[in-house]
Amino acid sequence: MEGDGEPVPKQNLREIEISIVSGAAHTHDHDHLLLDCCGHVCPFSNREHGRLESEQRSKSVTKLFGLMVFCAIVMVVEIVGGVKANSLAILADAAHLLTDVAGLAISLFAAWASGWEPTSRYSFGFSRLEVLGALLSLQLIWMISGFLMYEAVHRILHRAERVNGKLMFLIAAFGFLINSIMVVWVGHDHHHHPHGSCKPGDHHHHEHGGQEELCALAKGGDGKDEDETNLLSVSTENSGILNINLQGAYLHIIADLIQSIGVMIAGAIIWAAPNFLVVDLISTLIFSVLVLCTTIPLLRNVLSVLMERVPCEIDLSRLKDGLKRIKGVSDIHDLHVWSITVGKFVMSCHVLPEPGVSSRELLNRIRDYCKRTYGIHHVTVEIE
Amino acid sequence: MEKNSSLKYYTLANEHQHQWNGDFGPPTGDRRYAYTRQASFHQSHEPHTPFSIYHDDSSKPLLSRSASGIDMPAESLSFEETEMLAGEGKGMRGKPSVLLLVASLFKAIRSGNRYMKRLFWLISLNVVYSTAELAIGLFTGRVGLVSDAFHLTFGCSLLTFSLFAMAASREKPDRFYTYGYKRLEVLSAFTNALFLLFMSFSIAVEALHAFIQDESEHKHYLIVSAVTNLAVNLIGVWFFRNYARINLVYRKVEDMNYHSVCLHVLADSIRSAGLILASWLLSLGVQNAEVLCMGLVSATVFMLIMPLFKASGGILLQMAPPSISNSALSKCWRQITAREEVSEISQARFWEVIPGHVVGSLTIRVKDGMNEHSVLQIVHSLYHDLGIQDLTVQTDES
Repeated sequence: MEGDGEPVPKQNLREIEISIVSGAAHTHDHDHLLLDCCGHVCPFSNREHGRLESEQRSKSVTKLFGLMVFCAIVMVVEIVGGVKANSLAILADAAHLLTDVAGLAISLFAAWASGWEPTSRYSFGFSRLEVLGALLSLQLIWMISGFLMYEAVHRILHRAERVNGKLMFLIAAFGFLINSIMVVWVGHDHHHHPHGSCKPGDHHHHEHGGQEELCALAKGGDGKDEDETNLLSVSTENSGILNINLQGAYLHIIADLIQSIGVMIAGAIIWAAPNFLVVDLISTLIFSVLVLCTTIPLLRNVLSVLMERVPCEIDLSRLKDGLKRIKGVSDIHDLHVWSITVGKFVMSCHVLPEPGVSSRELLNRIRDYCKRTYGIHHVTVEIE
Repeated sequence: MEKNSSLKYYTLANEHQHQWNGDFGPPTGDRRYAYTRQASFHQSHEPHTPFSIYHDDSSKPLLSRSASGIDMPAESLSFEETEMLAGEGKGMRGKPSVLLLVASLFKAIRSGNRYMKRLFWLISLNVVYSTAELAIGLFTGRVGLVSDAFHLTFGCSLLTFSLFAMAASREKPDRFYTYGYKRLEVLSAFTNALFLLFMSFSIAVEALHAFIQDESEHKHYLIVSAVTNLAVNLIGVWFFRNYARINLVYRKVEDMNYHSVCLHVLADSIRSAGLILASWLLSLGVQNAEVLCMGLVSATVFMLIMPLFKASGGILLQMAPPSISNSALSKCWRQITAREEVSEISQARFWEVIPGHVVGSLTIRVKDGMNEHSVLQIVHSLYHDLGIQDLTVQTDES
């Protein structure tokens, strides 16, 4: 059917242009992949940003792996120390770190798995796994916050015994330190902001906001208004794709940080005035609610991807108008735009051409427009 | 084989419903199926394929809502819910007051179908029960009751999300959700499944804990609460008894949601039953009864929930539709490439928005100068036979 000797058709040229950016070897792979098992999958969607994307992915995989190892080491140290000192509090903190490791493991797996080749069953590849992984991390954070709130209530009701405020403070301070190190480690790359919350109102608010965690999660970190239509650079898009894993892991660490702050405050107060046990409960409640609030932007993103929503950066009516204005297009219907994962957009539509227009040129014009103005690289257009 | 599957999709079949829900009288059952069939095709109906045999249904847009009841009020009242859902795009212009939201939710439920009403009663029962348990636990200082109340509340919130999904998924597709809102039900099924997985895992941890720590006295005063819990959950199972199976074929998306709710209450009742059994065995003097029972419960819940988890996860991951076999697709592939105008198919992707609504996109290389329109027609009709209505075929000239 196809062979290397054939003159390369124009559509392939386009792919070759892009492949040249990412390493020309991929055109050959593209041809080989056409003869897939069951024959009906062309997974070029993963090859387009080929090497650049896989580099970024391996970077985030190594980063997550390093974080996980670090966390695991600290956890082991805490377990040993807790057993030796026979302190339940330290062991409880170690259990907390275990959940951190679990969250990181989920993100790591998702980041690694999204590099798998698409198969006939999973024709879009495994990028969606990242989104599900982020959802899992979120659920884990909620479970933990719920569990902590329950524990706090339990402690108040069950044992009105003396709490060692000093120990509480020290352990929380140690946890705070560990988490800050991890935050700084993750935060290095954070100027490539993922397209954050879908609320344009929040966008400005968070830009000037003082709080580091909210700022990091919202859209405005760059100062650049990425709402606009020029999502030209491949790197921005790719870092948007990869960062949802780091976002999940980051949120986990931030949640821990916030909890540690709460426990430190409560510990300090109990240290100073040992009978205010209810402070423990209050601070746990307040800080758990705070943690839940910080998970909301990521939740929005995850939900909008899973629901096949039109991506927040793209205004459907503007896109439709823009497409209609292309020379040769008489009408557009059945327009669908959705994301495979944060940053990867897919579009499909049916076009009624004006009579006498060459469909090949019309197709190229439409694809060009989508790619250049909206950054939609996977476009399927039916010209009726 | 393909003909059979197309029959499955197209016939407003009585035999389906008699297979597994015997309690629906034929008239109500018919109407429900009629409406939901049209619902799933109505969304794909936009006038692109010349072969949409449901053209005439487009004249009755009202029928695209689910089931019984008066559709007009539901449409105007779930507007607030659309506002809430699509709030991100429009910016939240003044958060709808909680009272308004609750009122709209009640109205939506009143006009909803029978399962929605059942779920609503189930949730209210759960809320009443857990508040009572919480109050009693707080007053008498029994921590076990308080923890049980927390657990119930958490499960209750999940059921509320399912109810919300049922109500909100009746919205029509709009400019933000081009495929409509039905996928919310898949999401709610997935969330329920995830929660049950977590629960199974935590019960396993509990069993391990009991194994290490040999602490069994706290079971005694939990018996009453376990029995009441079991009763409440069994009522739930009775409400959703048509969906009390592990492997279910999902003909429409509401099936998935109801199935997940049923499994949720079933798993909860298994857990309560396990607790009761464990304490009975303990009173008989069996060692390690708790570990055994909890381990058994954990394994059972895991087995119960796996198929639903995989199915809903597959849809969310945009896996190729499990209802269409690979051989059918490759047969189509071969038929298309066998035509002389076509040189090859370079890309074919199929995925399900909701069970039963398959979307596909295909890129075909056509030889120069050939008539594209006839190719388009043939391709559309071939895939139409498989049940794929929403197909976008791109023809490239080689």
